[in-house]
Amino acid sequence: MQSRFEIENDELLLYLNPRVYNLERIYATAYIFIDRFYFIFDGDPNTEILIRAIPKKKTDLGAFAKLFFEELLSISNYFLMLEKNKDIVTAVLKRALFSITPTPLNQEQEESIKKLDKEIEELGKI
Amino acid sequence: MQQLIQKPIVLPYRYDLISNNIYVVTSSFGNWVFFNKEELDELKSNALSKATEKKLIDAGILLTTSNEKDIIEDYQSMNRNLFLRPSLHMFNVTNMCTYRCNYCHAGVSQGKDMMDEKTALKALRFVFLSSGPYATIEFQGGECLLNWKVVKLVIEKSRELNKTFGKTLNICIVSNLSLLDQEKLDFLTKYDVSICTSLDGTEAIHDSNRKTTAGKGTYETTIGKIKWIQDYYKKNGINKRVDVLATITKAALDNPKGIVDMYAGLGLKYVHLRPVQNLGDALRGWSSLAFSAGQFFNFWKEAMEYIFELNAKGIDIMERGAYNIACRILAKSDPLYVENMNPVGMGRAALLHNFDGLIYSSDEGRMLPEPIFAIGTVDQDPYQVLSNPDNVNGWAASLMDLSAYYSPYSHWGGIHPVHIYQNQGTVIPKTPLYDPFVIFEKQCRHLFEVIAKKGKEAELLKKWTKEAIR
Repeated sequence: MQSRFEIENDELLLYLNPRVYNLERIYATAYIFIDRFYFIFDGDPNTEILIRAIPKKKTDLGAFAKLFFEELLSISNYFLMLEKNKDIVTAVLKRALFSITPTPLNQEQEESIKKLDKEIEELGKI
Repeated sequence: MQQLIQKPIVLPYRYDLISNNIYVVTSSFGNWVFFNKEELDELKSNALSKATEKKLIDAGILLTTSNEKDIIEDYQSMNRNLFLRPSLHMFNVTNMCTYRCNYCHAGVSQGKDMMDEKTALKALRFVFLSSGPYATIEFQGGECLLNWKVVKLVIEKSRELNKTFGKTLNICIVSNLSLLDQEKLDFLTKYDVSICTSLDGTEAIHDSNRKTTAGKGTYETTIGKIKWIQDYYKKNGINKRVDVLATITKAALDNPKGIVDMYAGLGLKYVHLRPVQNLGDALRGWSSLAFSAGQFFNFWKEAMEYIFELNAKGIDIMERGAYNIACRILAKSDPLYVENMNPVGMGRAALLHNFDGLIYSSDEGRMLPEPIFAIGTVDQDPYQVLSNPDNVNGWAASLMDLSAYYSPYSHWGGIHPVHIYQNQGTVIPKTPLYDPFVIFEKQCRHLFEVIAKKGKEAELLKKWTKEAIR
């Protein structure tokens, strides 16, 4: 099948080839535009994915269709980079995040908490 | 330290058109660079010239052995909140109030409760056991001065306890100031307690929002008390300032300059233009208070342009929201503002100790009718409360990589699960429909436009980031 779009009764029909476009990336792209469109997904994830995009306000549907395909490419590339560099990004983040360890209470601090506990206990007796 | 990388790697990036032929490219670690179309095309096609490669390395978007350490340090500095234990502890000492503001998020119209001394001391115990080297105790309400006995007790005890803990301990009251008298001010000053209040702008704006229980405007009282505290500090050589916040409702949208003038006239160093939230009593008249993200942005932009005009005339004032963003993008520092943290700071950087002993993951959490954001009680072990799965799931839902992966500005912003829940009925966010983040993106784009122009305003913005707000 060939990916393409059609405009029908003020709605946009997007036909996507699942062998070229990943279904998760298609979801992620549609999500970006939920402020402007209602999306209804249909079709078969093995042969052809169909999206019916219903605008919330009057929109140039042809221009939006092109924007959708452009954003789909951008999102696919972003997640591809994320996937490809996952290990190194995680390693850098780990090094950044786990370099600080908390310190336990010292004896003096423990004593002052015990004193406070006693005052709380006394208040309970009133 | 062992090197992590064998060959240079372009970190995941997003970009946005800022102005004619200027794009901002941002990396997943929060670094950024301006590119023209040609340079962006090189990046997109992975065919980097030497000059573009150098720009990417200098910016920290191309990860190499030479800049690996800098990228890690920048990330740590921009996200300092991730390395601190809960530092902001709010005490809701009463839900009663002397005022009836039309947007009251705390819903004081139904209030009749006070925190007792025992609960207060247990909450204090929780503060000292759960916080790291920095802690802020902030008294909220209602009107916190209605429960002066408990406020006083917590202040005295916390200073005493801190003699052994040695934390950097800030204490602050958030008050409408109506009950603040000389005795209380002397006490607060003696214990180095900061004072924060609300001023929504000009007399007409402020009085339309903030009224007494009898329905009278409160502008005169507020202004009078702010000036009185400022005079007191000045006369006694006390290096403190009154912090003042503005809640922006529809009534304020036509007059950004009036609000800025009001703050500048009081000698205040910053104005925080915060959009009203649909919580508590605000829900009752929401249609008369609310506005769209676009309307708020236009208001904010006009205020910003005017603030820069005043700055150019030597009047020292800044906008807190812009400051929060500028700190990250220009100074690579963390302003520690809970709502701009990623993930949000609720339940990890900030906690709310309620009058009844319940602990909420955020101030806003206690404002919902049901306690679904209550994560424990003051009787529990702090680590049990903080690791409560309901708490962790709450803030984890706000991870920007999950819901704002599309935004070039997501590294510097945040979303608040309580607002999401209130507006969308679930903590799983539909970020493109979430106005505070839509506004945040517009603000970021505007600030990058200012920076890209490399003019006087960009210099001023940079200067702001050198100031410390609390």
